[in-house]
Amino acid sequence: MISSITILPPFAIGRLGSAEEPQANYSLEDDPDKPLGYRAIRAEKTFEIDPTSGEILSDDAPKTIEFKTIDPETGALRIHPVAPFLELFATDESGMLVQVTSAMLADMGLNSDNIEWRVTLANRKIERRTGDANDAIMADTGWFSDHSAKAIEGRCHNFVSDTVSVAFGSARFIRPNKDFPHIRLRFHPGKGLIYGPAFKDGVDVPPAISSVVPPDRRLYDSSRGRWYRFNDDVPDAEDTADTADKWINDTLPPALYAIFPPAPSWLYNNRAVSRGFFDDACDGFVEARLTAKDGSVMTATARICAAPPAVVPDSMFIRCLADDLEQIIDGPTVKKDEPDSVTRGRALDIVRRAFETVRFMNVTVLNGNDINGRSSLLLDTMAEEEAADTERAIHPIMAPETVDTYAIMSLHEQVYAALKGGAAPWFHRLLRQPDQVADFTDHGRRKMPAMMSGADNGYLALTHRQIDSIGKAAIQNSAFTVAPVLPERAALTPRNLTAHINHEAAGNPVSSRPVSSVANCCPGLEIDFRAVWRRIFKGLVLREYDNLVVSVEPDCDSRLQHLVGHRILRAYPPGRIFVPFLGPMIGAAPSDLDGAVRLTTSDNPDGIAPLEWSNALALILSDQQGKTIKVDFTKEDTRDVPVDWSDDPPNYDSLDVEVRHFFEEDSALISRALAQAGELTQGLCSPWQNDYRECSCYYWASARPDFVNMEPNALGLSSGDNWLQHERTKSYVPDDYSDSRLILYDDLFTDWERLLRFQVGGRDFGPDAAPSGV
Amino acid sequence: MTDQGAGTAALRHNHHAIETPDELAKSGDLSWTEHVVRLLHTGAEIEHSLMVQYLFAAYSLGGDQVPLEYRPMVSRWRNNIIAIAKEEMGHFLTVQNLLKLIGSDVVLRRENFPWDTDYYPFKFALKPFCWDTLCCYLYAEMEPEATVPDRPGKAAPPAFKSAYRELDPDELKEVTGIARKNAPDGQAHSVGALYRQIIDVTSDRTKIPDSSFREHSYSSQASWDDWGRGYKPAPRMLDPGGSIIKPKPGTFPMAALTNPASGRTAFVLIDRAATRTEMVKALRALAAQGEAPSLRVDATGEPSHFDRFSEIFHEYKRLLNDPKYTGWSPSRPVVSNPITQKVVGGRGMTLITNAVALPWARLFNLRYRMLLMYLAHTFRLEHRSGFGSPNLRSMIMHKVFGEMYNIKALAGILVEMPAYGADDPARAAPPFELPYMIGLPTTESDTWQLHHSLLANAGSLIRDIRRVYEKSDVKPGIEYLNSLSALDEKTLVWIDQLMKRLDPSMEFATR
Repeated sequence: MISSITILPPFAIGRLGSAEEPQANYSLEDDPDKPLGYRAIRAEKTFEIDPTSGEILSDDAPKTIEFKTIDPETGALRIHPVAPFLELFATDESGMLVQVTSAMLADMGLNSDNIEWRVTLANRKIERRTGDANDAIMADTGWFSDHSAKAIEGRCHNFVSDTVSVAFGSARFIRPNKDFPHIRLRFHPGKGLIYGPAFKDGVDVPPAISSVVPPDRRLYDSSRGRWYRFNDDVPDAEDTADTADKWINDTLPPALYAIFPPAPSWLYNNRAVSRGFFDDACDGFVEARLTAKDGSVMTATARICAAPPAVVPDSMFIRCLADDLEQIIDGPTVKKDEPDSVTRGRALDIVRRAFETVRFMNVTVLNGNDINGRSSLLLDTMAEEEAADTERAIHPIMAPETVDTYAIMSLHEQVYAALKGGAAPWFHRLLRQPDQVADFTDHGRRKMPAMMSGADNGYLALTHRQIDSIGKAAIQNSAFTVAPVLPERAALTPRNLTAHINHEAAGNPVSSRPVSSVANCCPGLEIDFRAVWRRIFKGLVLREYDNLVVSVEPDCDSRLQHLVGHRILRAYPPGRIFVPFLGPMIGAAPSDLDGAVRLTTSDNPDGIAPLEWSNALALILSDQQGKTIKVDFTKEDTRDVPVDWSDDPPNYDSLDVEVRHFFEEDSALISRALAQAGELTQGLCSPWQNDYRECSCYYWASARPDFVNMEPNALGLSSGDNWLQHERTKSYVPDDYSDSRLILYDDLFTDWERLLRFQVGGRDFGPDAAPSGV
Repeated sequence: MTDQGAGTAALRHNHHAIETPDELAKSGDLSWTEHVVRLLHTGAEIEHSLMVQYLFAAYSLGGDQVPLEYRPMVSRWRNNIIAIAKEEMGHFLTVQNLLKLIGSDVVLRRENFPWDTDYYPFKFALKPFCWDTLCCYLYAEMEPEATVPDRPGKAAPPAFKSAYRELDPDELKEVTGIARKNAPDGQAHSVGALYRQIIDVTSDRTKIPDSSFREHSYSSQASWDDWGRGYKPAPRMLDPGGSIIKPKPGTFPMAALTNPASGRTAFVLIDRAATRTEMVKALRALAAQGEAPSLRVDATGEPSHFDRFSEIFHEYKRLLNDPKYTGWSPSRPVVSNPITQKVVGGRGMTLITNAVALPWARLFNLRYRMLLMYLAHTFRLEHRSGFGSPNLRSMIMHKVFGEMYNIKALAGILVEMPAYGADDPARAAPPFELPYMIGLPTTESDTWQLHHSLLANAGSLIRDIRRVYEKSDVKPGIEYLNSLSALDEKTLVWIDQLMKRLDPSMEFATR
């Protein structure tokens, strides 16, 4: 007998692509002959599905792994979509998780007809900007138990009719057979198409629309909704966003959608008039329902999303979604009794991911150096971002003479080698603490990881748990040589949520798992993980990127209902003095080499920066989920300006607030109370291609590379290409958003599958690896 | 430390009564500027030796004999001593900067261990950490006033006060007694005395004219930006008017006064100087952190080397007095003054003979040499490198840090290996042996050829180790060795690229 059912993995990432065949399964492994090299991509058993019956015909591993293919009919380059399987598990009489098979169902007097599936997905990117619920694009397959592919059709009230839809892909209940008896569903995401506004007959369609969106994908009724010509930034005659509730719908970064040229908006007086584009990226739920003989019903739910391709499949990012989820499950600190070898193994893994990240960054540019005599202010970097936020002169982060990718990467590799030799990490003090992300003194901005943005738009910090791993290994037994070992894969039990999160479902490549997803979401690539925190305090809805209460839930406690427009300052979980949700924004004192000052502006008179929720809340979630804690809110409505707390006189009220559970009971499913379908992707760019153009590589160097084909040159420095430059010349083209040598907005909108080149071994890889023009 | 020689004269250096030792006296054939250069040469050599000596002691700490519950404490001691060694490296670079300021070249050489100098209370030697070595280091880093006078009838000084710990008179007596036991014969003086005289002479405009100071060398001096690696306190908070904001409890500098020294990271001082005043200030700062705290000009709140050793001293003392203490040593039984080949007159040196440890020890020496060569090269290239964009000098600087990491890893591997036979408890240790010469070839292409040759030699030693391992199931350090080999291969490619530009006709033998 079984007591419950579970879908694993609880969160699976699908990736867009128009190739007929989904991405073949692969894993990553170390190459013992190349200890510092790229991870080796190993072909794994890949399911071949009978298109008619929906059953698995074979599970042979392919001879080679390809990510992109040439369409035999059109000659076009197409990317293989990542179409993850979701497996059904059950908790048996012994309390163990076992995979459900047709034999198990037969033992219960059931068959696969007694299993039903349902997929609900949404794209709320437009709704997130306009605030109009009628802009949500929703899809629901309804319950099904047959084995045909079910189209997932996204419909929207503001589309021109009920009959048109966005193709979110399909879902298929894989028919179990003798050789492959397990119960599983496959999610096949969309093709990565861009949709747009529809116009009445006789209206001239602007070229900026017609050149990208063919007539059959013009779905959005521009006369009904506000998305077409929506203007996020400038209140002028065209602005349809300058409403009383605009502040609720502000995003960080602002705009992040396709606009009428010229773009980006910040180079052209913040004019950001929407072209009305949207995409087939989405997120939501897969549900399973098992009806027993006696009529009782068991249900299970998992989350899925459809995201852009993982273009650097053989590298891992220094802070990935799995790191954040593990912090929620296991807490912000390492267990005291964890063996040193395991702690050091984790530290070693972080260092490896550090150099896997650095090698795709042109650190000379990202440091804020002037390039080829051109001012660094022209280029989007963290140094430039910091200058813009603080209204201070741009200043390179590290000494400009010292930053070169090859040299910095080699140094990271050297650290990695030393750790492999049994040395304890010694660089704990160099790591940025999560509450110091807005320390813009050289002392602060030179901390690690450097030159990249965190989810709070400050400098990236690792998770508390990552930092503690390195700290414990660095300090506790540093005088003792310990061979690092990676933690063993946790046993799959109902309560081992880490094992759930990292579950490797048969047939699923690495790129479907949270380890392949960036976590420093600003706004993110696969999902905007910031969105998951908006409802962590029961009754309140927070803005995902700062400490502002934007609304209250219908059942909100009456004591909290006045808090809309107020800011949450700090919390008092038991055992801690307090946990701050904001930190000081400080910079070098202009007149004192050893001094620092608060960086204030008219928009930020207290010089404070909201801290990312994921790290700030980790200190609370570790033991306060489901409990009530005291939280300080500003006394006044402070929607227009952030404020620091003050005790003289107190500018805050302390109120009791319940902390929601992050996961649903006995599961690693991110609670539905925290985010509905479409809410985990709502903050992402619309269409997602904008993100590859506008958000510079300092967000996710290993997933959205910057510096490729890199090698040392005769000057002892690094040569290579900008990933987004058309011609591979070994001469890096600085990204000023307008250089014709670069892949620009419309190139991506119309031809992204050809232009986004996969990187394997740090080199262009695939049928398009040879230099090519536009 | 019973074999470091004897003598008590080293203890006679109350600085108010310092007499100019012979070695501090200016030779008649030298100008005062040359005299200061000579003293700075000595200072550089001493800082270099201190750094190595402390690293050796730190690396010796640990071992299976340390009970589990005491391992965090022993690790803390190690981190504290390494912090001192890092600060000595800052001193070393600062002295190089001062040499450049007054028109001299840098000095990277030093004597092999053990060696003696009149500016240090006892012989420099590579010794494992123990109670005696700790007392000697504590003594050497102590304020001169605090030492116990050995003149009959003179009262004992008051307890030595420090921000962290203090030594009571009995402790002072014990420390000085042990240090005295290990002091060499003859007149000895403190490093503080050396710096004090450099300061005195440099401050005297009649001795060192303004023209002796090369202001233009400033931009080519080693900077904290380049070498500091974040090892300094966070900046102090100022209000909009520029006044220091009174720190809240738990924040700097309050933390400096309340946290134990071991909880504070190193404060690596790398001062550059363009003027006489800045040179004197730099000397005062490094002396204050190290061997002459009385020269400190302002309270930084940072622990001095004495503070750090004192913390270890008190913790160790509590352990020794603990009835449950079973006599275990906090350090591995590593050999003292290890060497890799017999030398004439190698008194006090220990030859490593184990077939596995020997090539590892030679590899260690080679990497140490590579570190120094890269370091020397950075100083040479300072003059040729542009500013504002990445340059070759900085890339070589990263190589220096890379070799520091190698030294750390290699030392950790060596101290786990037998020094002699497999059954002998004595462990090997990092020899820090210097080659027959420390200096760069004259030309740039020859210098790169030297770097290339050293890497090739490293490859040869790595092959030696692998050959030894072919006959063994146990291969300590093999993962590190493989990674190091891969890194060296990449560096060779890097150097090949550079060499083509320097001398396109030059071809290297195929590796």
